[in-house]
Amino acid sequence: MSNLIVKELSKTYQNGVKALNNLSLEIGTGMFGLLGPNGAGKSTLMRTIATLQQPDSGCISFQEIDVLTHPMELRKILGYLPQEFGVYPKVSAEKLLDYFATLKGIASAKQRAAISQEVLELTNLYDDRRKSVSDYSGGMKQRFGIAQLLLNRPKLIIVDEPTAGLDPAERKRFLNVLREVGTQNTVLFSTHIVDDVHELCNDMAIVNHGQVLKKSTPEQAINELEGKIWATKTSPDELGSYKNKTLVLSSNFSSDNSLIIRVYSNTKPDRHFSAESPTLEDVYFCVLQSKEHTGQSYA
Amino acid sequence: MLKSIYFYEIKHWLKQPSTYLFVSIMFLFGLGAMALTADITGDYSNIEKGSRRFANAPFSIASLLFDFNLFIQFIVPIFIAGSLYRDYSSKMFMILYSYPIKKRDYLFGKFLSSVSICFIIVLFLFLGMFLGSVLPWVNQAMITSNSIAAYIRPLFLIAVPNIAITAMLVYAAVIASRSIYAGFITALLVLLLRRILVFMLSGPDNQTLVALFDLFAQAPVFMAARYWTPEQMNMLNIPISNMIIYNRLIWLGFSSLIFTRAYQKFAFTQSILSGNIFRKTLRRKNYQSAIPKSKTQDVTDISFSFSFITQVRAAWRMSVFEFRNILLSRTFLALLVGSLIFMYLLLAQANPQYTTRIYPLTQVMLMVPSLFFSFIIGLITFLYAGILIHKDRTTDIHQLVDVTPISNPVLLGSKFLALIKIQAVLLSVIMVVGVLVQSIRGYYHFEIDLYLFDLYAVSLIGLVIWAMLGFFVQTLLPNQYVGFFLLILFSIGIGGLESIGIKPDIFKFNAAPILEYSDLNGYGNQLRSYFAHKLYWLLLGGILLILTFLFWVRGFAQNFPERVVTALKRSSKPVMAGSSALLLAFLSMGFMLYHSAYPGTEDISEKELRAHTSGVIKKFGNLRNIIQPRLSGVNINMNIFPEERNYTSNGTLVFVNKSEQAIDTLIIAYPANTNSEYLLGVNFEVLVSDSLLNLDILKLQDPLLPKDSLFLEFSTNDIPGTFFLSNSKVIENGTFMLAELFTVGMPDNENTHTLPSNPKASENSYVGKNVDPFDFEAVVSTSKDQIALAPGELAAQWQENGRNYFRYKSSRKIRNGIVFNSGVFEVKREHVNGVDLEIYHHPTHTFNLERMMEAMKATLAFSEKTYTPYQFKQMRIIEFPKTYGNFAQSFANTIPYSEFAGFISKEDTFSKNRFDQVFRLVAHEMAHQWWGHQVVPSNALGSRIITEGLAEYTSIEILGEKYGEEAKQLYLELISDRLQRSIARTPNKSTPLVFARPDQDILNYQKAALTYYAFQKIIGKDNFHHGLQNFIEKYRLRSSPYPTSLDLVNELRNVTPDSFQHIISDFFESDTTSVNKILVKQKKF
Repeated sequence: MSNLIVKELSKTYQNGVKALNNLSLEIGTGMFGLLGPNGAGKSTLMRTIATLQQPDSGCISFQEIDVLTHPMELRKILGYLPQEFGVYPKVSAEKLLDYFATLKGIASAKQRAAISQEVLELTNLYDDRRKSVSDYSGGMKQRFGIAQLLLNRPKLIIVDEPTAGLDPAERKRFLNVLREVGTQNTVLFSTHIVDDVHELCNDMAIVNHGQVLKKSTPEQAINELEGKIWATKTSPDELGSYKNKTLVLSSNFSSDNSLIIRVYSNTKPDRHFSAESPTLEDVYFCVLQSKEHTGQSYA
Repeated sequence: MLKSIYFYEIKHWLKQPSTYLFVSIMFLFGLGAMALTADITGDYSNIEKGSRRFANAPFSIASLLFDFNLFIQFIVPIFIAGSLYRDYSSKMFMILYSYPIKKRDYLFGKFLSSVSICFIIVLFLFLGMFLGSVLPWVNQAMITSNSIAAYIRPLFLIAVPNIAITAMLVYAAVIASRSIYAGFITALLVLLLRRILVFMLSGPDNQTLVALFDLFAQAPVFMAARYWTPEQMNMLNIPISNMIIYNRLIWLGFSSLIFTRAYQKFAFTQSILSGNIFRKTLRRKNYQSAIPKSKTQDVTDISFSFSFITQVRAAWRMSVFEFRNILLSRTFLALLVGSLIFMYLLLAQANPQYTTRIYPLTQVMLMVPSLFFSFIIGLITFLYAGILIHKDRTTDIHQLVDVTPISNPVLLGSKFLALIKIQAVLLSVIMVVGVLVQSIRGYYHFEIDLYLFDLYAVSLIGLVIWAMLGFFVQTLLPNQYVGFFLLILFSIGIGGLESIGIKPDIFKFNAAPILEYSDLNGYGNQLRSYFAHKLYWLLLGGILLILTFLFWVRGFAQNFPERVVTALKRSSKPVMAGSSALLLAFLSMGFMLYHSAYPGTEDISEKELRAHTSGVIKKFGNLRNIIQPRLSGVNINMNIFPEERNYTSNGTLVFVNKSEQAIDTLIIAYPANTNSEYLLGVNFEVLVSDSLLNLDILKLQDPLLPKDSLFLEFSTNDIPGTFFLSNSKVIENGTFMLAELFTVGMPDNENTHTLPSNPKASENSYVGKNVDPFDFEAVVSTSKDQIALAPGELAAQWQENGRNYFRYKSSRKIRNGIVFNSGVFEVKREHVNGVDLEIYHHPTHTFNLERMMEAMKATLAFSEKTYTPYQFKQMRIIEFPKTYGNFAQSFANTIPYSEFAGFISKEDTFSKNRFDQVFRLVAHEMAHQWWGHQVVPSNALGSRIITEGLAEYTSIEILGEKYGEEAKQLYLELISDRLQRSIARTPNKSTPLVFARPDQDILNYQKAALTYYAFQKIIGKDNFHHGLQNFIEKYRLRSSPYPTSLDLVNELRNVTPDSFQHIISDFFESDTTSVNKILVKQKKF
């Protein structure tokens, strides 16, 4: 069942950038990963769903709510964590959460205190609740971002590239929190870190140039590439010739300074290649590359 | 490196539209100010050539610059603070500070570049002024040839150092706090600091100190030009005087010190310089569980509500949150401390008058700071309107806030409430400091209710209206600093509307009648009109708030057309209905206010009236000097109704034909601004009844024969006021009004003062045509709690119909000028030499009664000894509220005396720079009982050197007798300084004293008194007093012919030894300025 339905959304900015190009998407319960390179239109899409921005055309609905005409109804059940945010200086987490709880319509002081404590504990910030959020470390601040979005028991949660800039431990901690809240609700989660999606999401879409290039579950997408991913060692000079012959998905230098390339091919390109088991990263590059090279999707 | 940072920054600013905005504003300022200064003086043909000041004269240019100081003061932080703050706000500093940039290059590069931009902006002000002076259509008569120095000196002597001083202080503040607002607050505090210094140091002896410490250099420039003649003002450049140089050095030194200190402390670190001591350091845990506490179900039971009442409560809570954040910010604390100090110094001094101190009454505590401090709170309102509205964006929290289901009106409302709370806190500074000052000075009669009403009912409304405008402008404009500046511009621009002919308050945003509080009658009649005007502006403010709501930015910024689309979308039916209702109410309220302030469509213009008048005069020109009977008796019943603010009166006027011929034509002029009727006891025919000039021309059936009397019965009633406007002279408590009487003869409508040598001059006295001193009797009634007064002895007193009645009868004829007073008074009485001395005063105004009594006794003793006996049996001083003004005036045995002219002033008998001003003023007014009432001079030129000059002289002598030579000397210095300044302003050939026009106050008071004094020193006190005595005895208490200034000089000539005869014409009759001679003499006193 689809909870969030985005239909034919378009948005062109004043400077001529077409951020959303007739984009349609249906999202059900659970964690939904939105993958795409920088500038793909992810943030525009999320802001538009989060009622922060108006599209030029299209419509959005979430569980019977027409988001564009009744933004207030969505805001009541929305939790949103933008890519970047600041806070008022010298205000403690506790006070700030109380403020947000007021903004989110909790009238009783007792309930505000209770829910604040709940989300602080959930995000592991309870011990630091009296400190200024402006003095928090990056990871703590991101967790605070999650804490504030949970205050209204949101049914739709939108998080925009939340793991960027977190150290591995903080990232783990953050993803765990997100997993915890994501099971019963719809969570739209954008990232360009493929592993985040792999670890968390039961559904995903890859977007670029304001369009959805692929939508499926991570497992299914990987399965589709089974037997079609090949790798070999080569040198930088030969990379060009491979690029002409095959669809090169990625190239990495190994520790002995040789270049390992992964390519997509229905058959083994030549004898130097060996078969590899596909990863989500392969899916990601495959979708982006095939579109750019051939103008059509591989699938 | 410095160079590249410098140019990088310059390029940055040159890319900003706001830079060009300020450049153009300043350019237009200069252009407009110059063109207007040249043109506003308008009818320049009337300006005597000598006193014309060219608009582009060096001094005029400097003066214009001072007028624009305020704007420059707030442009400086926009650029200076902006240059540093940009790196903090964009978090660029994290990257920048890691580069191998030298601190010196970084800080100086930024500083110098932003100062350069400020310099360029001010340069355009000067360019504008220059261009304004060469515009072809500018009034060339007010323009002189441009000289480079006239522009260069103010620019480099005043403007550039001023920018540098403010810039260094602002820069230091931003370095220390990393907050751009600290920059603005610093600029504001600099304004306060200057005001404090100028205020504290002001005083006749401290001019040098003020000149040194006025950090805008206005005082030293004005000091240097103090005695300049207009010609010198037109010619001379702003002098590079020591005073100006020292002033510049002091302040540049001071700000450099602060700057250096901040510079030394600056480090390329990621955290703020100081103040970290209070911050809790984060406890770093070595291990944090990667797995959150499990959340299997919602632990807490919570409920959401978006009902109206919860939204209102949410708005309040949010405003508390916003308010608390501001209150705890360091910038606001600095502002608060600054205001407290400023207010304390202001109130502790509390001397609005030159050498006078005032008791710390609550009304004084409220009056002293009102103007400047409410201006400052206005600035703060504009600043914080911007801060509050842009705060979510500048802190980058807006995405979190905007996706919450809080409605826009609640968001807006909470911020608006927070702003009003800020205003309330700042207003409370006045109360806190006021009570503090009162306690320190041992004055424990705190009128907390008055504080609360004045601050939170009267003042706060006006500030709330400014806040509404501030919110609107700051919401509409994306750049809050531009918004701040435009708001200042707008609020100051309103003050200038009057000069371009827009007078009604309803066209000047947030204008209302000025309230004057008095202990006697409170806010008086103005309060109703004040609140009506404020309500009117609140209605407009409501519309502005609705517009603010419509244009409120939610989500990501849009361009203006998109915002208009959003606004239209938000214009729901209730919104449209609400704003239409507000608009309708606003317009009808404005219509109503306009009509109550300017009633009567039948009012004709001044021009028409003048044309009509000259027509009548042409027609009846031969009537101008027609012989008329003369007023010689007044009997009046005056009923004062303080609660209704109204009076009725009736009575009889007795006119006697004192001429040798029969009179058959009578011209009767109605009293102005009253409802009046009259009856004559004889038969007559109306020839003309002119309702515009308010006069009747009658033909008497039986001519009035010589020595015969004519009785005119009259009734004269007050014109009822409108709901908002009452022009009645009657007030709730402390009424002070002159009787409006019918007069006979063609009124003189221009100043037709003849030369004293003209024999016609002596026909009429200076207080009315066809009026001689008359017999006077009156019955005055008033409400039962008040005492009513009129000249004369109190003959009877009774109560009737719950009202108090008083009958007054004068034992002697009185000079024209019948005064009535009514109020709740306490009376201090003494009986000296057969004279009742009485002071009628407000019950709590008892501070100076003793001094006043002493002054009356001293004047009585001195004048009876030196001149002649006192003519009445009583002398009364009667207090009136400052509603009527700040003065005292002498009527027959009555001196109405303003509460602010001495009842609440704190007098020193004699100390440094201070002398007993109340004593002197009472002596002056009482001396008028001799000079003005015993001797009533003619209507000729020079008459007021007899009344004012000799009253002033007498008061100086009495001051000397009471307090000694030093006090006298101090007062003489004071008035000679005033004389010198005035002479410098109007050096056009000085009028001889004996021909002084009545409006030439400086001649009539200061110059006459100083001349008498110098003359007395030369010919000897005894001789001089003997001459005065001869004069007064000769003309005492008589009717026409009335004495002139020449008669006085004649009497003086008679007592002057031969060797000094020549100085008489030098002193009194010469038209060469004799001031220097007088002053030279004075030095030898």
